[in-house]
Amino acid sequence: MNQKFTIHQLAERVGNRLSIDSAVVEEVIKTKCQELERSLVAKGSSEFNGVGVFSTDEDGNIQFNPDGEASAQINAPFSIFEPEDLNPQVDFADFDNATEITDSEPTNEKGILTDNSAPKIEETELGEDASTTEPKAVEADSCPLPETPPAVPIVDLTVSNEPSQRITPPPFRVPDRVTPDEPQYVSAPSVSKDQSLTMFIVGLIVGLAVGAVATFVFMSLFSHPDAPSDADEVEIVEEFVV
Amino acid sequence: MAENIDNKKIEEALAREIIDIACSLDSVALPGFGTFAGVKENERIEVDESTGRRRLLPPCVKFSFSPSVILRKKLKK
Repeated sequence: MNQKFTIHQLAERVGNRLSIDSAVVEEVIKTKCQELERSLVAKGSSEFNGVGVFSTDEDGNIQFNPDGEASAQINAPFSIFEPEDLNPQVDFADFDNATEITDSEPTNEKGILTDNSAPKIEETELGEDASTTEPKAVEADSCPLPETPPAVPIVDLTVSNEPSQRITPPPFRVPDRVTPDEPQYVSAPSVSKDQSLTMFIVGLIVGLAVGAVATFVFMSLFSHPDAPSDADEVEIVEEFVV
Repeated sequence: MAENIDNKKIEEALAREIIDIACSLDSVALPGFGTFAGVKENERIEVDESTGRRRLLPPCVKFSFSPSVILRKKLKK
C-alpha cells in the first residue's frame, strides 16, 4: 500500500509475467508512452487499451477516463456499497465534511454521476486555493467522489474538578436454566428395618415349608412298592457282568 | 508481424500490471508521461442544493492519473 513503483520495477513485473527480458518490456513501455503523448498532442485524445482514455479540454488540462472494467476491478472491495438517502429530519450539524452539489447531476441507478464532465461539487470547506494546486486529471465515470478529509470527531479532553460518578454495574445474575421435561420416577414406599427382617423370616419359613411339601410329594409319587431295593440292583448287575 | 504480436501481448500485460498496482493502492510512475495510482476515498455526505436531498456516499477506490510536468508543458504550447 502506498508503494511507488518505477518503470524498471514495472518492466520486471511484466517481464516475469510473460517470461521475457525486462529490457525489452521497458522499451515497449517507453514507445507506448511516446505514442500516447503524440496522439494526445496531435488529436487531443489517446486511448490506452485496458487502462483508459486520455483527453484534453479547452484549457489544455488532461482528463483521464478510466476503462470501465479497470475501474470496476479496482473498486471491487467497495462495490457492494451503494449511496443511501438520509432522513431529512436528522441533524448533521456536527459533520463538517458535507459537500454540496450546485445542480442536479444526472445519475444512474447506483447514484453515480453519468455525465462525462467533471462533477461540479462544491465543498463547504476548501483547504487551499485551487490556483496554487497542481492540475490533475479527473476521471468522471469510475468514482465521482471528490477528495475530502476523513471526519475526525472532536473529543473534549478537559478534566473537570467535579467528582465523577462511578457507575456500578448491576449484580451478576445467573439466568434460570430451562431444562426439558424429565421423566418422573415413583419411589417405593419406605420400609423400616424391623419390618424388613420380619418379612425375610416369614419368607424363609414359607419357602422351607413349600420345599418340604414338594419333596414329600415327589417321593410319594415316584417310589413304587415293587421296585427292587439297592441290594437287588447289585445282584442284577453282577449277573450281567458274569 | 511476430514483433507486433509480442508488443500487443506486452501492452496487455502492462495494462494488467498497472491495474494490479492500482488495486493495491500503490502507484507507478512512467517518466515523461505521468503517474497511475489507486486512491481510496472515504465515505461522505452529499447535499443537493436544489432539492435539499442528502445522501451518504460510500467509500471507493479511484483509478487516477496525474500527468507529468513535461507532458503538461507540451500540451500548453
